[in-house]
This record gives sequence, C-alpha cells and structure tokens, in this order.
Amino acid sequence: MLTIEHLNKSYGGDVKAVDDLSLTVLPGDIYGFIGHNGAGKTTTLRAIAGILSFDSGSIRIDGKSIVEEPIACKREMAYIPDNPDLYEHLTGIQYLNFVADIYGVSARLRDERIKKYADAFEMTPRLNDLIGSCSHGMKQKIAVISALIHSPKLLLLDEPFVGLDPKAAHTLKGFMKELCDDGSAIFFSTHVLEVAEKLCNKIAIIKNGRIVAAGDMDKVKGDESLETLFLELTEHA
Amino acid sequence: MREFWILTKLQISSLFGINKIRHMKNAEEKKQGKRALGGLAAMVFALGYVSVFYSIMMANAFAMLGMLPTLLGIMALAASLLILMFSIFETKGVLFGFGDYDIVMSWPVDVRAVAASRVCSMYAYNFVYAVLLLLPAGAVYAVKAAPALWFYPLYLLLMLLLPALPTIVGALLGTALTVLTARMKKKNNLMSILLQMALVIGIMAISMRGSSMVADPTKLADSAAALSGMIGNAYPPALWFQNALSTGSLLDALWLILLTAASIGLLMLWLGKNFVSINSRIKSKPRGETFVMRRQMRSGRVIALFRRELSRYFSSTLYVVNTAFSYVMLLAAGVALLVKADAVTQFLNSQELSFASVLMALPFVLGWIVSMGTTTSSSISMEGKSIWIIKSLPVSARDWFASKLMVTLMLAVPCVLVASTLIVVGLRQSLADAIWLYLVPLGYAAAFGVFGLWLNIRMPRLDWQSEAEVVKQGGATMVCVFAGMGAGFGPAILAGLTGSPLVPPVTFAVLIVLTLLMWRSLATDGERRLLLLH
Repeated sequence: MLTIEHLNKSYGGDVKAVDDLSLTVLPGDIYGFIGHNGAGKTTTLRAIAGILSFDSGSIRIDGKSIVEEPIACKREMAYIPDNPDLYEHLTGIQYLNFVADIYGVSARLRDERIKKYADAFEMTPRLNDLIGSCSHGMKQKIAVISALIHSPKLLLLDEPFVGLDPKAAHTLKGFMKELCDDGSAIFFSTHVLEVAEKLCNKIAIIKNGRIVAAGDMDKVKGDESLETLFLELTEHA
Repeated sequence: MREFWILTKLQISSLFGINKIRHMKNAEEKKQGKRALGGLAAMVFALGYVSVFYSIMMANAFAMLGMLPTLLGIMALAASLLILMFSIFETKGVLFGFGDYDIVMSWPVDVRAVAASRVCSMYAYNFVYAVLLLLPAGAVYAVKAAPALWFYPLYLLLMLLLPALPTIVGALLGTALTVLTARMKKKNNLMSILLQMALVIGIMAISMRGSSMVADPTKLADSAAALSGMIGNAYPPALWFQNALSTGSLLDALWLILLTAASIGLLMLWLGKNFVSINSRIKSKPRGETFVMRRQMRSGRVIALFRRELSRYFSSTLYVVNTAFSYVMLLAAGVALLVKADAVTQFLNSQELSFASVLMALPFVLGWIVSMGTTTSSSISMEGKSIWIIKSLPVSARDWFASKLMVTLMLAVPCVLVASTLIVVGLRQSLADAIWLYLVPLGYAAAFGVFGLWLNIRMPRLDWQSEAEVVKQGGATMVCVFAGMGAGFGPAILAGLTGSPLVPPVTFAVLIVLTLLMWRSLATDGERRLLLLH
C-alpha cells in the first residue's frame, strides 16, 4: 500500500530531517511511527501526504508515485496533521460535504458515513456550529470524520489522539481497526507508546531522521516493553 | 513600561514578515520571502515616487498663488484620511480578535501594556504611510521655502505625532463596528459588510467635498485663507501642522502635541477597562442550531471549491470591503453618468477637456476600477494555516486557481455589464464605442484576476495573525493595485491624447494574450509552487 525507498529531506544546511528512510506498509497494517520531538516523523508523514517536497528517494501509494501522480495518490489516502487548522468560516457539516465533494462520495454514502462517524464521536448535534467556535478536540473529531468519509486505502495520522477525550480516543481506535480489517492501511505517529504497543501490528522507530528499528511489533520489541526498547534505541543507539 | 517594550518588539518583529524571512533556512522559502519583500519595497518606492510627483506639482501651483504652506496642510489632511481608513480596517485583527490573544493574555503582563503594544503596531504600519506622504512634501517645501533651521526637527516631531490621532479615531470607529457586529458572525455578516462600506463611503464623501473645492480653480484662486479654512474645517490638526511649520506658531504645535497626548491617554484609559471584555465578546462565537441529519447534496469538484472560496470571501468583512468597494464605485459611476449625463458633459466642456477624449479614455478608467477589485491577489494568502487541506486533497492546482478566479469574475462581470450599460445609455454611445466599453473592462477583469493569482503564488504570506496583513498590506495586493493603476492610466492617456480608435482593440488583445500566458504559467508551474506553500 505504501512503499518508501531511500527518502531524504533536508531544510537547508547539512542536517537531514529525513535520512535514507525506507519502509513498507501493507494492506491491513496499523503501522506506528515513533520518535522523539524533531526526529523526522511529521516531515515523513507530510512527504507521504504529498504536501512537502523531498530531495531524493521515492514514495509510492498503491504502486503510484506521489511525485508523478499526486492526484491519483491523494484519491487513495487521507491525512490529518497534528494540529488540524480547518476552515473556520465553515460549519462542520459544510466542511464534511466539501471534502466528500472533492472525493466524489455519493449522496447516499456520505449520509451513511457522516451519520455513523458523527454519532460515534457524539458530534452530530454540533455539526451546524462554525468550526471557528469548536474546541480543539471537536476540530480533531471533524478532521477524523472528514478523513474517513471516503474510506481511504491509506490513512496518515500525525498524533491523532492529542486533544481527544478518552471516549473519542477509544472510538477512533475502533475505527482504525475496522478500516484495516476492511483491507486499508494506517500509518500514524504517536508519543503514546502504550497505544502504539496495543494497537499496532508494525512499528518503526526514527531517530535524527534515520530508522533505527522497524518491522513486526513482536519481532522488534521482543520480550521488552516498547517503552524500554524506545528509550534504549533513542538514548543509546 | 518594560512589558510594553517587550510586547511592542514582538509586534514589530512580525511587520511585513521580515523576522521570518531573516531566519528561514530553506533556500526556496528564503527566495520566496525575499521576493515578497522586494515587491513591497518596489511598492513603497512607487508610492514614494507618486507622492514626490504630486508634492512637486502642488508646490509649483501653490507657489504661483503665493500659498506654498497649504501644501503641508493638504498632505497632512491626505495622510490623516488614509490612516483613518486603514485603522478602521485594521482594528479587528490587530487590536481586537487577534490570533495570539489567548497566549498573550496568559502572560503576567498588564492589560494596558498589551493594548498599547497593539495600538503601537497599528501606528507603526500607519507611520510608514505617513512618511511616504509627508516626507516628500516636507522636502519639497524645504527646497522651495528655505525655512529656518528649527523647521527640520519640528517637522520630524510633528510627522511622528500626526499619524497617532487618526489611528486612535480609526481604532475607535473600528471598535464600534466590531462590537456592533460581534454577534452577527454567521448569518448577519452582510450587515457587518454593509456597515463598513457605508462608513468608508461616508468618509470618502466628506473628503471628496473637500477635494472638489481644491479642484475648483475659482475657489483655489480666491485666497490661501479660503483653502486653509477648508483644511481647518475638515481636520483642524492638519491646519495646526501647516501653521506650526510655516509660521513657527508654537501654539499650533502645542495644540497638536497636547491633543495627541490627551487622545493617547484617554484611549489607554478606556482600553485598560474594556480591552478584555471586548475581546471576550468577539471571541465568544454563537453556537449554531442543533444539527439534524438530513439528506446531503452532492456537488462537482470545481463547484465545491468555488463554494468554499465564495464562503471564505464573504466570511471576511475586511476582504469584501477592500475589494467589492471598487465594484460599488463602478456601479456608482454608471448611475452618475446615466442620471447626470448632461451635467457631466457640461463639466467636461468647462474644464476644456475634449468630450471625445474622455470617452476614449473611459473604458480604461473602468478597467482600472475593475483591477482594484481583484480578489485573487490575496486569495492564496487567505488560505493561511489551512493550506494543508488543499495540498492534501486530490485537487489540481489548476482547479484551485480556477475556483479563486471564478469569485473575481462572479463579482466583476455583472458589475461591468450593468455599469457599462448605464454609461452607454447615459452618454448615448455609438455601437463601436459601446463594444469596447464592455470588452475592455472585462479584459481587465480577466487579466487582473489571473495576474492576482500569478503574483500571490509567488508572494504568499500564510502565517498572518490578522487578515489585514494580507488583504491590505500584502505585497501581492499592493503590486496588483499599482499595476492596475499603470495598466489603466497608460492606455487612457494614450487614447485621450491620440484619439486613435486602435487603442481599445490593441489593449484588449494585449490583456487577453497576457491572461492566457499567465494562466498557462499557473497551469504548468502551479503544482510545484503549491507544494512550496506552508
């Protein structure tokens, strides 16, 4: 579903934000991406989402290059940044309809999905509110619903649980599993190692732009906890 | 005081995005930032050049009539009026309802220091305009009048003080509007737009009354006292400025200093008490009605983008007033020429202007007005921090540009058709003239719509805290306005002087070719440039 090969990105100067990064995400994977602040997680996610250019390497979504066929790639995926600045002048329902229109979601399907996800996140009554008047958590929920509205094959999430209340976080985890059970894949960054350990079947740890460990969760962490492994790799590697 | 300086320093560091450009690491971003700054610098130079030109022209005319000091009063009046209008627009976003309000107010600083730093930020922007208008006027006056040495330090002091009063009055008017419309966010945004438009038209009407007196040679020739009286009636501080500098009247200088100091003091006192409550009122947005799930309608991709763009446009009072005002002017010109056709003809004849020359120039003047209403020159910057949405959606840059262009054309095309029809009927134009009266302004609408996009994608500013930073002070907006002035007046003068019937078709053809070339550039290079935005 997602293949990254030898990805390099620097923001000027000698320091590389992402350094020769390669990894593969298969259909059905919930792939966690962890690393300390400034390790290169957001840069990698933004490059995959096609919103940030990179220096060299390749990113393919379902076999298509994000550089050569950006529109085709974006049709297959959805991205939510760590701080979703949505259109504050639109109401929640206007924003969801806008995204559904862009992805060409039929009227019947969008009705079903908006109802399903908005009800689950307890957002339905508030969909007439201007996004500008919503709390951070409510904006995050609208962003999540908009990302799920076209059933993406690849879901990219940058710190998706920040700002969500415990119930909403639980609901989101449920939808993530449901999406992957249907054959989609999820690649997401998080600092919450317990969530990554429980939710993900695969994990990659990034340090200073380089992958220091990646693969199946069980194989990567072995008998240790993910927290112990993370601290060992990021502090001593 | 220390808090005030720290906060003011923070405000000033964001002026024109200079600090951000200084610390950019990415070479491409730095290039983009420098280009934006270069555009601004070019515009400052252009405005300065126009100001010098006007100052010299007026100084020569006034010197002949033995009333050179009036130059100082007129320029002080013009600068104050400009600053007053800008301040009304800037209030919401700079003084109230600014993006970093929560974080700033969470610091252990005096509310008055926060408010003062915001007023200071407004003043800093306005001071740039004041310098651009007053410095050339002062220099020209100094060359012609050769004043004593005290003139120079006093001029600098009064030039420093002059922008404060209109900034404060503008801030108060802007605050009144903001408070009045704070609860009208969703459905009644139209009311907010109409109120601001009415205020601007009111100020312009008052100022035009004055300028028509200046333009009237009989009144100008009457005496210096008559004109000074007019300045004094319109805005006494402008007359104090003139008198203090031309006669060395200490009393007038003192009046100006005392009034400015008293206004600042009173404003600070008032803001200290009301700053938080007004901001809270603006920040608390009304909840919508409880949503009940009903059948949602599906739209096409481009229509969805267009609706989003239209909704963004009408969500910002500042954006609408700043651009749609041109179309109001266009329609007003149409109505005036329909209703007062005979009076206009008489006036033109009395001014020894050839009626035919004016008719030749008319399509280009309309084109210039249309170019000022272009919404596209700030439409990319207006995406702000939400730019990630368009970048991550399966939307081509071409469709995105098209949706923005459609908003400009949606406003411009009906207004041009109505205004041109009114003029054609009013002035009983021939078929050949009538065609160009429609086609030329429409050509300007298309060309400047695309030119605005072409500029803004090269000179974007997405990290704004207040919409005024891009709508009023954006480099692309300013370049577009000045380019429109040049593109309008150039052919207008050429057509008026030569009377050649070729000027309209050639201009129209050039506009269409440029439109196509710029659109092609956007279509081919747009994806790459969109990727660079963040």
